[in-house]
Amino acid sequence: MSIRVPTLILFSLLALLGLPGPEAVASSQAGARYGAGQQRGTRQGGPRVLASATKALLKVGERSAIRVTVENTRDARLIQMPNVDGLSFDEPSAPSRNSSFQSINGRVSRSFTTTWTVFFRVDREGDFTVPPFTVEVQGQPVETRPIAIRAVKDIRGENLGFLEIRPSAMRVVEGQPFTLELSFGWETTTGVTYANLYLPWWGELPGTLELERPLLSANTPKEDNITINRELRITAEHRKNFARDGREFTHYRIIRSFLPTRSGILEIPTSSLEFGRESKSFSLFDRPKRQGYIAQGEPFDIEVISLPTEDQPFDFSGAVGSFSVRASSDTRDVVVGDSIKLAVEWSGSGNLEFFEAPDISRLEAFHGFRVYGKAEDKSFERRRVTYDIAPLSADVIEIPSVSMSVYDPLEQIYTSIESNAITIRVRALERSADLGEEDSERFESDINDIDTQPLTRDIEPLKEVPENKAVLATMAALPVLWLCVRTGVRRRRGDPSAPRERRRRKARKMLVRELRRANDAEDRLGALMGFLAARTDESQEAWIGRDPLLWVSELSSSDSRFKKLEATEAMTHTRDLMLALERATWGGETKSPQAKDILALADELVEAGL
Amino acid sequence: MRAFGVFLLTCLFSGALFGQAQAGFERGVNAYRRGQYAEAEVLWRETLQEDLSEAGRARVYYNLGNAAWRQDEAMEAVGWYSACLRISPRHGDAWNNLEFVRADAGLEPADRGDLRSTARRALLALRPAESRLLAFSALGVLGVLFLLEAFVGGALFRLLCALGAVGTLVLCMPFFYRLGNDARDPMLVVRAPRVAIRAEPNTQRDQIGELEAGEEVERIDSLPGWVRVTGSEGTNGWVQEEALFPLRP
Repeated sequence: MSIRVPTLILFSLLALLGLPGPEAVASSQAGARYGAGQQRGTRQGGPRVLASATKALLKVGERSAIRVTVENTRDARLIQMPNVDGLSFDEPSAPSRNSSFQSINGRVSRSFTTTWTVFFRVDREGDFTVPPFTVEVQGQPVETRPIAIRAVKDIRGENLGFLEIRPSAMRVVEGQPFTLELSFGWETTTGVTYANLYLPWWGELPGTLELERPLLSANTPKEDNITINRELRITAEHRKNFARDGREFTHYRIIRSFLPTRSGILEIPTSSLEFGRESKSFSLFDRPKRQGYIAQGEPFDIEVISLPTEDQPFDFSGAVGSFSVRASSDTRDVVVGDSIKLAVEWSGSGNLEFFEAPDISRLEAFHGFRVYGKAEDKSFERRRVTYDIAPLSADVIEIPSVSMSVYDPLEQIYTSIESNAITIRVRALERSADLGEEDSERFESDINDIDTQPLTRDIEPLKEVPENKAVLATMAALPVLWLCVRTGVRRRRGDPSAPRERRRRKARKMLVRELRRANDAEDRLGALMGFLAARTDESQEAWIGRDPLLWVSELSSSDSRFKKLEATEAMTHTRDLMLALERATWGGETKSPQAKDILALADELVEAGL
Repeated sequence: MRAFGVFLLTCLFSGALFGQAQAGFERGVNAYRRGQYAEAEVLWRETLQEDLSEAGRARVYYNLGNAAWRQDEAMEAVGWYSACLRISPRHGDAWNNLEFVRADAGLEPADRGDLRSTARRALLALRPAESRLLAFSALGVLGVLFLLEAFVGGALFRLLCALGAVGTLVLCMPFFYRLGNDARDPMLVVRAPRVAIRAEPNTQRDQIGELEAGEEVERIDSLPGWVRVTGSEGTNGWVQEEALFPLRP
């Protein structure tokens, strides 16, 4: 009753405005889902699929959204996204589902709305037609209408700001690092309060590894308020302002380095810089006002070519670049067998972090040394390998040079670079000049070396694993719990393995199978009765001529389980559907409910608790 | 605010302690590299007093094994490697060195390669936490199968429950084996060639049995300088503490 007062006010308002009253609304929306027997106003109209763009005129580089809405059904899913050259669509958002109840003069109606929001970005100017989205509604594919979108260049944005992306090389070989330098800025008088870079390739350059670059030094002017793809806030180097055409521009720079891992073409698509001014709002209800501009960065390609296999040395370990190398040792005066730390450091431009350091134990020049192991220190600018070696004889007079094959992309040839040799003095052991045959053998077949890795706080992912007692308790409790649950389920619902329960569970599957075989309305009626009989544990004949409404009202007085069923519209729909099927079977009516209507009813009945 | 302060202090304190352990460990490495093995051993033993993770502890045990070996304490090295393998059973270097040192000390290999040794090594291949996780996961799957059987019933789920129970039993075997193994307090006999077992903790008392070097015994009780043990043949008596190496240091 409490709903009726506002409802009456609503009716009065509608009448005053001259709009159709709720009766008209209800009747115009009354669906034909359940045929002629559908009650007016009990169910809103059939499913409706709509698609609309939030803006039809966009700037190049701007992001906007298309909303796809399905009304009056919950059974809908977006199955196909359009593909338009010049528009980059994001994955659709998770559907937003709304349902609402309306009670008008005691009649209750319910409506459902499902909405997907699909964001996209305009990559170039032109007129675009977004082809229809395909939505599966109640098992049937439904298409939306095409949407027209026009994209124009932001001439003012191009004038006020700039974005340039410069690669260090347009052609590189596999393993040769290259950099992308992003320069951007805007006219100082613009009063920019926000800036966002749209870089579709950011973090997604296939076939490359992004290299860690050293952080900007503390003295370098920086700007932290730049976002990338509206997600990531990064620090850009703030460079000196410059003048162009008599106007002063701010200038920012970001440099990123990449290592190509396979040959092919690396496409850097159109990037854009969105910048502008946002005025703060001091009211709770006003949104901040934005004046935004967009400047474009031109697309380009980088060609990655394979490393030549011709003349490739056998010991080539993947080093590509222009390197220099130097070696040093922690001591130069040792006794036979003493440990020497030989540090070899490569620097220059190239894939310093990625090549495999030479294994000196396999180099002929190091035959006079025992190699215990090595420790590595890698960074963007240098690679340092510290070998732990020990001379085996007092005849050793120097630590030989460490050579490594490198591919030089500038010269396009394989070269060998060698560290400097280090002169050392090796004193003989007290009792003999060098390790004797027996000692040498013992020395060769020694225990493995100690563990020198720092004692980092080892991550122990299994720290939270239950203790022994918990495992044993679970082991003991599991069969007891199982027996309790099993007994409880069987007492409450009966044995789920019993034939009647299995028949009940399989009723819908059987209905689908029977409907697939059905040729006419009579077969479909039989299938429906079979389903009802299976769900109510009766014979199929019991449902011939039965009024479902009467049946459920009789049962609900004695069994509370049927009260829920009686409260829903499911039995009314059952009666209507059975009548329609009977009319088509025996009354000669040509229009008959189809399999999907019967399946929808079956689902509704199961949901209602039959 | 006070809770935050306490938390901050705890973090700083634990960080400082860990830094101390790290510094001690590195000083031990440097001493070892200089050939000062006794000093390395002292530094690493001090590191063990800190709150280390299981993996970190295993690494220190391993290094102590090397230090003991360098000081010609082969049996002690065997003890350290065995202790390392108890908590890090897949430590390849420790296995290698253990077998090397045992061979050098004239002991039989720890893994003889026969069926019993292989089965034992397979059952102990998982760390204690891993074996518990495996058992717990298997029980979880079995629980889901039990629930399905309880709610859905049917011959298929009954069969799946039976298979699940057998599978769970198999997957719980490392856990059960470790449960029995970890409950013990084993010690390794490290004095060659033999050690006397006495009826009472006194060298004047009768000798009731002998233990061989490399044999594992279980600690029952201890008194200053003496440990009461049960040998592999069931002999129960007192042995001098210096002849034994605790495998749960």
